Amino acid sequence: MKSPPSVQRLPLVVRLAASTGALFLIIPIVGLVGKASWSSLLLDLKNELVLDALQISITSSIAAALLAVLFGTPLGIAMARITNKWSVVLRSIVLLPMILPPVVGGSALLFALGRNGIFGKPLFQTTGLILPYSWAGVVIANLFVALPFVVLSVESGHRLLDRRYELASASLGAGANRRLTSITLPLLRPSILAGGLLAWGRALGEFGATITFAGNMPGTTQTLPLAVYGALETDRQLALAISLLMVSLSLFIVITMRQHWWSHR
Amino acid sequence: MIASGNDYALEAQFELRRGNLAITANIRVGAGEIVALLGPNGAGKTTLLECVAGALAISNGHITISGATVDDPGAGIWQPPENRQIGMVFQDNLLFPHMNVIDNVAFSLRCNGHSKKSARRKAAEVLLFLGVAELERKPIEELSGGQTKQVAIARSIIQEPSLLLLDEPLSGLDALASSKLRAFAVNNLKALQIGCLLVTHDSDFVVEIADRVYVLESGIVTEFGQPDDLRPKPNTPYVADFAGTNSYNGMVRNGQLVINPSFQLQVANLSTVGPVNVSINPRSISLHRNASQGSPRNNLPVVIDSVESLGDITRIVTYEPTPLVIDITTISANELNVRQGEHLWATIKATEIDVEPLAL
Repeated sequence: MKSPPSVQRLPLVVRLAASTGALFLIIPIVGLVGKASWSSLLLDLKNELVLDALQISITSSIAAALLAVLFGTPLGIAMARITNKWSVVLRSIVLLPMILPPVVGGSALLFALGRNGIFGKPLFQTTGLILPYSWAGVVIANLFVALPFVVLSVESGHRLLDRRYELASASLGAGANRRLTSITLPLLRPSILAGGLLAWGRALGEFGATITFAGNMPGTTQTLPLAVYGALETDRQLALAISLLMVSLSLFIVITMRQHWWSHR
Repeated sequence: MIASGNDYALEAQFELRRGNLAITANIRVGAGEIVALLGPNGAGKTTLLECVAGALAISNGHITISGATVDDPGAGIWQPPENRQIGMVFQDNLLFPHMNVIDNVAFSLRCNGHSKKSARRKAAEVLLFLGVAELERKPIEELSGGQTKQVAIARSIIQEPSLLLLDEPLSGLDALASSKLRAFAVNNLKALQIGCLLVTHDSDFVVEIADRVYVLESGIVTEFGQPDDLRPKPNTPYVADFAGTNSYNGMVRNGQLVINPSFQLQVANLSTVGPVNVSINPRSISLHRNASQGSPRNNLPVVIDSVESLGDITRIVTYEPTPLVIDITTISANELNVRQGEHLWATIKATEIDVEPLAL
């Protein structure tokens, strides 16, 4: 007996287009996984260059994600509340790093914070600090591209928040500080977490801004994406191994995000 | 009941202009007095509460809570909500979803510097006093509608504010939860002696709990008086509807009272002509299975819309040929066995119809 067509059944055209879209996303990963030589994978990865890059990638991306949460959360909250004409300007500035080619972002950082940059020069003269071509430079490049993700996530989360929770807590005697720490921030927790994870993922994959501002020095500023790029020229097997490592790291972030974020919606 | 001088829990005389909403209010709530604020939807009742709570600033006039002026634009006085001696129970409660019951109730004590332990102990005492100690450990999402409201009330009274604002505390509750909460509110709010400004649509609740009533219509607050004054002489259609009195606009033509083409009445001693206001006491209408004989009687075919027991009296609302509110004894309602959707006959004695010429 034929079962009746479900109401949810989509037209053929839609199903075809959806399948094409999904395939397009899956095929490159299949190519990557299919080409890997699993027997030598661990051996390939147990290479000083890879381990250094892995360490720099992990530490710099986590540092950038934490800084992004630290500064992006207040900025997101402020943007959700500002209603004057400056909000448009502010929003454009925050969105810019998401659209801007990362290489341009890296150059901008170099011109601003480089040893001869507008802010970098006085910084060097007063403290002796040189940001470019250092681990801190990697973090700054990562932060530049990752910060908007936290800002946007927190801002949209704040817009969905019922502002009357604040009135409710105020009527119970909570001043501005307590409202922020006891009500607003806990209610924004899912948005902050999601923004932080997105920022982490974005920082982990950062290439253009990092290579421009921090360079590609193995052991100091070479992250995993930079190592993949270098290895593609010299050792394809190694490039493949690092790529697979990055796929697993990214997958980990996606799964964490699913658990922390979407499961609550 | 009304206290004198500085003893008012609330003394508000103000105007608010905001967009196309304008409210003129002159309201007093004595210490420990329970005052109901009535009015049709969209009249600005919630907005008025928000002015008192400090969510909105008034345009002119003043608001004084327990002797302390909290908003007076003329004198440059403004106190934010957290500095006002109020509790507020929101229509949708707004319990904090990331805290359990006890921490919601303890919240205002924590704001005032109590330790977590002592705040929780006091919160447990309040829940016990209110008779809902069993809710203490429950997460917010496991509470029923009525329990959520009880916790919201507990949270807002724990510091014994001099003024409690309640916005539609019975809305969204089913009949059983509503009657339970009514008893809960009547018992506890009366015992606590907290001044209450209460927005509600429930006339029985008002009669049970309120000492005085204000009506807000078209942005203007007018004192109405005692709740008992509402029923016999409604002076606006809203109040009539609220109190369950039948009030219509009609026309007297050729000795016949016409409310609409399918709703015409025989009235005894009709001495006026032209437009009139007609009011019929719900208790002077009777219901029958068959059209009754004899005159002068008005027999109207009706379809039952709702049947609500109010104790000894059962209130029946019909919607054809025109809406009627009928109060019959619960005994006769049971005898008739009235059900929603049934077609019955309503009988109105010609001598029980009150006709007042409309002033033009």
